[in-house]
Amino acid sequence: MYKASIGITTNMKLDATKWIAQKSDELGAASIWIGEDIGIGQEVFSLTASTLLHSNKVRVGTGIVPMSVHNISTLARAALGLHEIARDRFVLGIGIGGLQDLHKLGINLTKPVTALREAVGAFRKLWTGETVTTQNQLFELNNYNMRNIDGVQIPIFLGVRGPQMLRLSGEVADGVILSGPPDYLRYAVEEIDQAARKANRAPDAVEKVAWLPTIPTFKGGKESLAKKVVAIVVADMPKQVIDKLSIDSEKINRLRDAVAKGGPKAGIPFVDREMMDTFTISGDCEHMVDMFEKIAQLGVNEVVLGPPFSGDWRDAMTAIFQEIMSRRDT
Amino acid sequence: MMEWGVAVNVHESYQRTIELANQVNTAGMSYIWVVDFPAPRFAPAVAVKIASMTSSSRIGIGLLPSLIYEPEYVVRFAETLTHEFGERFDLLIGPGDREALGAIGKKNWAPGKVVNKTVDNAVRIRHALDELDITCPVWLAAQGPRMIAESKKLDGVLLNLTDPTMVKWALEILHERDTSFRVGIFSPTKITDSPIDPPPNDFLYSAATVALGASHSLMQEFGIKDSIQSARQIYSNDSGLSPNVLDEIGLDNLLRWGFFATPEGLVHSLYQLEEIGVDTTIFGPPISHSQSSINLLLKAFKNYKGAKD
Repeated sequence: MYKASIGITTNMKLDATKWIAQKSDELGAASIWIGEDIGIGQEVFSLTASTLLHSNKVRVGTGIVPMSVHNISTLARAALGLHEIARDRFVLGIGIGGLQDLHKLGINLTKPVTALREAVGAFRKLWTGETVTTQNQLFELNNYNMRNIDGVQIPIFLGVRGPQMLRLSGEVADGVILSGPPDYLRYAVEEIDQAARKANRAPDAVEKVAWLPTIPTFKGGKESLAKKVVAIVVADMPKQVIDKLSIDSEKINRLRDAVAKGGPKAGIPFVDREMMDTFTISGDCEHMVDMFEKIAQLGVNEVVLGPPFSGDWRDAMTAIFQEIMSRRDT
Repeated sequence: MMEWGVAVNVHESYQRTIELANQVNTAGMSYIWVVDFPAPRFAPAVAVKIASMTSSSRIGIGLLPSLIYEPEYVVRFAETLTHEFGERFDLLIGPGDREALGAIGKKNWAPGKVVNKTVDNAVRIRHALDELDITCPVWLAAQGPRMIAESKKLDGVLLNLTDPTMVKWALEILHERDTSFRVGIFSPTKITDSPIDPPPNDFLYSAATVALGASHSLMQEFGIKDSIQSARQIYSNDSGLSPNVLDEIGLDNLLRWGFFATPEGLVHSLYQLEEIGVDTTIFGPPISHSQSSINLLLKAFKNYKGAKD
């Protein structure tokens, strides 16, 4: 049985994130994943602390924070504090950060997989009180330790996409946060499981969380928003992901051309139901829960209901979780 | 009346931090001061927890080293905290501990540049908070004359000084100041029952840490340049604080860098400092490690408050 979770981002208003944290246990959410919109909205670790304090049972994870915009010591120290506030409900979700963000910061990252592998190793050593010295393109530690801490184990999830990163997740991560169409998710899960086996790990030792754009088109949610999101997602999607899709490439190209010329709105007429079901989880309540189940069948453990939130999204979220729970009861 | 506060989140356990914060809040002290790097826990997250369980004390956050945190980031967590818990927060911006920053890859330490960056960051934070219409005082951590003088651009200065003659020297650099401008000190503190107790090592090491960071001008002014410089050399040779470092600085000198006192002695010192213009005292490590020392501090606070009332 798959777990259903909620995704929020730092760009959301406090009253929205607080409502979600307070309602999460009642809704039956397994986790709340908090994505950091770089430089926008609430500060990610304060928001995470607040989310933990407004909830009782739900797991709360960053999903994800880009390593490129934080010093590694800040991430390690934030995770330790949140782990202690959470009493074992906290998960550190990290990624490298987008290429554009890296360029802006003047970071030329030619070995991102190595950097992320070393980061995971460094975190685990620091949290057991070890002194760490390491240097790569992303961070540097020289005889650094966190001083007088009791050893703790904090799960590390990686937000990854490419094949090498997927394999790295299978080797070293406690979980992975994936985003992409069902064909890609199937491929990603296989890659991760295979890498886990090669590393003598059980494939289910790596939790797989799928976070796709979810747009209810009921309770005031509009189909046009779902179509616009598809247009944005398709326009930004790397070729390596597009190539793995069974969807007609002509249709994809027409949509990409339209967005390139006129922006996301211009792409809306080129988005059909197949595309919506490929790139988003959208529709009425029953259809969305059907999609959750389909995605879970790809080997994913947890599916996230996340932004963009529009219309009467609180009611829509409640209805979706009620539908998920009622199907479980029967 | 002078504002009192206790530094938490130093190197004590998380549970101890929470207990301390509760005690400080219940006692009615003005500040719970949540320190940041190189403390093992990120201060804003700990501040969220403390704010959620306290109501009366203000919460100071920092020192936030300017080489780690960009102004925009600091503004974002100040905004997040304030929106959730109200205008209960103060920020302390400073250069930070040079050696500790080197350990996390922050080695860009041309002294003049760091001072410029720190002041610039603090001013930008202050302006951004103003624009957001958030009242969140920004303090500058200072010990050298330039930082002390520059602190007038902010809401307050937190001096890493305790000795009244040194504090007086710093206040002369500030010269005239707005009535709203706060002058605070951050002092290694150990309160004891008996005035004849020899200072324990935890106090001496904390005092030595501050002394070793003394600015050039301060050392010159107070004739401690030779002993501090030679202690720094020993620190470097011994790869850290050692009895030799303490010996080199000397007991009399070390006692100038913090409070090692009985409750009565502490109150007497604070009266002196208050008289020369100190508004706020934050009691720093090692006091957070010792409940008996905290109990004596609370007793001193009660006496001080009683006398003032």
